[in-house]
Amino acid sequence: MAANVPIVNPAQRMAPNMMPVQTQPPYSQQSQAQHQTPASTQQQTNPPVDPDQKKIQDMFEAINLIANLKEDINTILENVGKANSANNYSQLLSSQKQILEANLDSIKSSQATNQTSSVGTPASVSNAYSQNPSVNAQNEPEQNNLNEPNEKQVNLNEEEADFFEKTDNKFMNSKIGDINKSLVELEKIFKDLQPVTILFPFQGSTTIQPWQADFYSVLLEQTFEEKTTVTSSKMINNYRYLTKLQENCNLTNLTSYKRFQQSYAEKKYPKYKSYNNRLMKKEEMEKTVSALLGNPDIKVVAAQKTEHQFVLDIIMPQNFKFVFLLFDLNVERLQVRPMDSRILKIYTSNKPSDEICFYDFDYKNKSNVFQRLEENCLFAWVFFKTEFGINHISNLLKWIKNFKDLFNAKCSRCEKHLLNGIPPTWRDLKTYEPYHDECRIF
Amino acid sequence: MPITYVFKISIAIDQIPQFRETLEKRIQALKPRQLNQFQVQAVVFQATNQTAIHQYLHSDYSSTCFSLIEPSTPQQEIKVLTGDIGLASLQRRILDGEKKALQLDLIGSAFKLGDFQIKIGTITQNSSNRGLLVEISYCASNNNDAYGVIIEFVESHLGLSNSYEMLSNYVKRKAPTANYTPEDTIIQYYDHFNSLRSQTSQLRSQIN
Repeated sequence: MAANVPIVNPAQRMAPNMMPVQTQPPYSQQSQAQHQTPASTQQQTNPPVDPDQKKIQDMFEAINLIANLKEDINTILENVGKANSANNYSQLLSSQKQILEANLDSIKSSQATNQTSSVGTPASVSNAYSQNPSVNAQNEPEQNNLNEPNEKQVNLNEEEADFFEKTDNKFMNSKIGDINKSLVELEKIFKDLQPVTILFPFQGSTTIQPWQADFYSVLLEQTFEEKTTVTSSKMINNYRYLTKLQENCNLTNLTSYKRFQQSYAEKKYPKYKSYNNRLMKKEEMEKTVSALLGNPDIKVVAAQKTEHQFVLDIIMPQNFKFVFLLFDLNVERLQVRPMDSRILKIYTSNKPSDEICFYDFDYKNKSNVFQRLEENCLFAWVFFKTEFGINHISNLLKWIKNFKDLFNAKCSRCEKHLLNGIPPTWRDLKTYEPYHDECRIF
Repeated sequence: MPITYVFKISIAIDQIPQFRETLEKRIQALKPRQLNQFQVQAVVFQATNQTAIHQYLHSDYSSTCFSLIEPSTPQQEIKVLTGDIGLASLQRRILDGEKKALQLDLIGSAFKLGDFQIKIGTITQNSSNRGLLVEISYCASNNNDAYGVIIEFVESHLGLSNSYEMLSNYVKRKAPTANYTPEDTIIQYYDHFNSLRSQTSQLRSQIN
């Protein structure tokens, strides 16, 4: 065999020396085989062998032992439940009874057909089958074939009888002792095993590229060598170090490091969070706007006209209000209106806001102050929308918040309340300082 | 409602018509929109127990009648009763026979300048001048917060330097964030008329 096959796997070569793995061995034979295994290996491994081959041999021994152990354990697990159960006996008895009845019926039938007297023995049963007129003409070997099922039944009965012997406690204890012995042997074999040698694919023929050298030096914590011995614990420690480095990089929030870890899909389809955080209800709108304003004196009332359209009233303590027409936090239109004291009472009596909040498209302010303020608000809205895009509402609200001292503030340039009969209606877009329209610098 | 402040200009009775003309000229130089004549009527019913009932009628609130009871002590809060114009006729019919009622009239001209409304009028009792009042209201604000705006308007356009002293004590005591109601104007008129009445009684006592 060895001469015919040029390349022989060491496992195949060693296979005849090893104890063969028995498929469904009887218990008595198996126990004997297990006792023989150490002796047989010692006898056959007397001549000097290479250390690598010896190791492989040991490994195969271990595998064989494990296979035997598995079978033993399986049989024990199957039989443990059955051993002490009374039902098992009754089942066996009933099965035996059925067989006997079947025999008796066959005898009766034979008696009915052929009026010949016969004894009710198993041998007579076989003769009864053979006594059929069609079968009688055939030869003897065919008769033997017919007898086979009966023989099997007899064997089964014998096995069942053996079963009760095997499920005794003494027998089980001896089995467990055998298993323990084999486990101890396994431990010895594993202890003798030496660390695995890693053979690199680029030995001499292929030139070592710099990135390969770097990678292995990091992994193995050594400069590059042809053969290196590495234990598993060292490898794991190095791997852990690398993962820790990655975690720390993630924690730092440095975009330059993060960019390398981003996958292609994340780059291709970036997430726009502003679209996802759409406000669905008017209560949410009121909460967010009041949080942005951050002043408890300023009241906020919202009304939802459609799924996306809102009307938002910001009521200042000076009895005027800003009215916004919103489309998902985008300001569509803006208005400034004076407030009646009567409407204030309606707000306090908790009427539904949909009745109160509405947007007049054909409304014109009678007072000059609010007319001018509305125009200025439109200027500011255009500025913030061009500057900040989608998130302009927060900046607009910050700017609007400063009109709480509309009638109380003095112009920071001319230091007066009135100019042409109008108080300062302009706030600086970045410093929020009050100015008259004529005083401000563009 | 627009916030209003009533200023009492302390001046000699002889100089009242002249000074009123100068004030009107100053405002007309700014080219305001002229409004209809305005009028305030105050009737005081003196009862036997020294508590008087005041009745006020204002041309801005033409269908309402304000009436208030004179407080026994100056620290007490003044409460104004607002009712229909029928209440005025009822009060006069009941209290007419007991004693002769004291009547004060204020007649003047009104202008509108931007968001401001200016009313200048003289107080007359039995067709004789008693004093000069200027009422300024700011339409944009409903709040007492616009005090500075009105004061500045008075100082710059009417040329009155000591404007703080012209105001009544009621306005000075009021909180800056308090909302304004038409009853507040009536109380201011009551304060000013009361001070004028006390002045005249003092003068009479001095003469007698």
